Amino acid sequence: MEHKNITRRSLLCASAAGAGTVALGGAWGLTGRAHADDAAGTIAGGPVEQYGFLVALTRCSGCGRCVEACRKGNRLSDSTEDRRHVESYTRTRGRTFFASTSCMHCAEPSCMSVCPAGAIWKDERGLVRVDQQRCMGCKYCYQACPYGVPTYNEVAMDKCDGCRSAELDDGEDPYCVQACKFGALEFGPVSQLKATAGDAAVAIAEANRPSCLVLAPEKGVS
Amino acid sequence: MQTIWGWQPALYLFLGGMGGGAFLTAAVLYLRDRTGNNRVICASMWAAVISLAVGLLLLLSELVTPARGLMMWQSFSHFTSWMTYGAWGAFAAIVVFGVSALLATEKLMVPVRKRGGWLAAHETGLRSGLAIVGIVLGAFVAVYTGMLLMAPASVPLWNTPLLPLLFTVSAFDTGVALVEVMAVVAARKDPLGADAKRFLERCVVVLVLLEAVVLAAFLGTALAGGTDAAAATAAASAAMLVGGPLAGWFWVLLVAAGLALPLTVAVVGLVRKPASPSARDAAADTGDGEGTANAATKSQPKRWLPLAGACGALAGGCALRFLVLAAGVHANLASETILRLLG
Repeated sequence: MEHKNITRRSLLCASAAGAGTVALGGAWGLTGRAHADDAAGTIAGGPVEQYGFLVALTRCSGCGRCVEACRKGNRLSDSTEDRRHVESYTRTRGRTFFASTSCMHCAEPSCMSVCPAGAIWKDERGLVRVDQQRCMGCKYCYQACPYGVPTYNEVAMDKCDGCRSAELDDGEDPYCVQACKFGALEFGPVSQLKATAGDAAVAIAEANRPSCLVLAPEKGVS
Repeated sequence: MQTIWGWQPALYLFLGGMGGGAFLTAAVLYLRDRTGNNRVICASMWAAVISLAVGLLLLLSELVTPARGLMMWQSFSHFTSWMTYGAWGAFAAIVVFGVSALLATEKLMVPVRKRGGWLAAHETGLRSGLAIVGIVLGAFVAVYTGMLLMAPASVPLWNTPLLPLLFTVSAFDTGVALVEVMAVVAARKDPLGADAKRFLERCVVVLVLLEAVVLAAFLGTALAGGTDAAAATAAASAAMLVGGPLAGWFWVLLVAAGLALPLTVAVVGLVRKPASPSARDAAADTGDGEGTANAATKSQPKRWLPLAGACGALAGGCALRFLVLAAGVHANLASETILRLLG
C-alpha cells in the first residue's frame, strides 16, 4: 500500500510537471509574439520610414515585364522562382484587371519572428530582408507568411528585397518599377504613396500590416 | 494542397509525437511499478529514442542546407520562434530518453550493480528522476508538434488551439500503441503484467474517445467557415479531408484504422474476463511447452488482437500528420481585397 501511495505521489508530480510544461510553452509563445510586436516598425531602437509598393489595377496590362526585369536585375539563378507574380482578376461585369505583387514587406512580418536562425530582418527602409548565409532553409517562413511569399532555391530562402542586394543607387526604384511602361507600379515611403494616391489606395490586406497598397479603379471605369 | 513541407516534416511530426508519448507511457509504467515489466519498459524507451532520432534526421534532410541545421547554436538561436524551443526541447528529450534507456538495459546494469558504487546505490532514484523529467520533455515534444503549425497563425486550418490539442492526444495515443507493440514483441520472455495491461487498455479507450471528440471539434469548427477568405479556406481544407481528394485516406486510415479499430480492441480486452492468477502463474512457470500454449489460449486474448489495434493506432496517427499537413493551404488574402474593390 505504501508503495502505491508513493507511486501516486510521483505520478501527481509528473502530471503537475507536464501541466507546467504546457503552461510554460504557452508563456513562451506569448513572449515570442510580444518580441515580434516590439520589432515592428522599429530598427535598432529607432523608427523606420516604411517603404512599400503601390499597385494600380487600371494601369497594369499584365505584360509581365516587371517579372522579367526582376529576374534579370537581381540575376536570379535558373533554380530560383520568380519573386514577382502577375495575377488576373475578372470583374463580374466582364473586364479583366491585373495586379503585380511580391513580398508585402509587412510592418509586422511573421516570417521574421518564426525564423529560428534570426536570418530575416527589417532594414532601414522597413524592407524585409534575408541573410542567405544564415538561412538553413527550414521553410517555416513560408508557412508563417499569410501571403505564401517565400520560395527556396538550392542555397536558401529567396524573395523580393526591393532590389537592395542588387547594388542599386539609393534614389533608384527597384527594377520592376523601372520596367513598367504604364506606371502600374510605384515604390516609396508608404505614407507618401498614400498621400499621393488619396482615398482610392487601400492596403492589400490586413494580416501583418502589409506595405503594399492597391489603387482601385476610379468610379465609372467598368 | 500544401507541398512546401513534404513527407519528411509530416513523418517527423508523427515520430516525434509518438516517441514523446511512448517514453511518457513507459515512464508512467515504471513509476507505477519500479520492479516489474522491465523488458517492455526498456524496449519502449529505446523505441522512443529511435523514433525521435529518426524524426530529427528526417527534419534535417528536409532543410535546404542540412549542415547549417547541425550548427544548433546558430540556427536555433532566435527565441521568438517555436521551432527554436522545439529543437532544443527535442535535443534535451533525446538525451534524457537515451540515458533512461541505458539505465533500463539489464545487460548494462547487471555488471554496474555487481561492481557497486554511486550509480548502483542511486539507480532507482536516478531512473525515477529521469522518468519525471522525461515525462515533461515527452509532453513538451508532443505539444510542440502542434504548436509549430498553429503558432504562425497564417494557415487557416492550423490556426486553432484544437490542433496542438489534437496532436498531443494523438501523440499520447500512438505512444501507448508503440508500448503495446513492444509488449507483444517482449511477450515471450517477459509478458506485460495484467495490471499494466489493463492500465494501457484504459488509456487507449480514454485517449481514442478524446481524440475522436477533438478531431470532430477541429473539423467542425473549420467546416463552419465564415465570410472572410481565411474562414473559407479553413472550410475548404477541412472539406478536402472529409469529402475531397484526401477523404479515402481520412476515413480508412485515420477514422477506421486509427480510432475505431484500437477502441474496439481495447474495449474487447477490458470486457473479457481477466485470467485467473493461478492460470497465469502456470503459464509463466511451465515455459514454452504445450501446457503453456493451452493455458495461454484459454486465459488470454489472442496475441494478434492487441497488435492489430496498436498497429491501427500507429497508422492512424501517421495519417493524421500527413493529412493535416497536406490540407493546410494559405488563403489568398490579396485576391479577397482586390475582388472586393473591383466589385
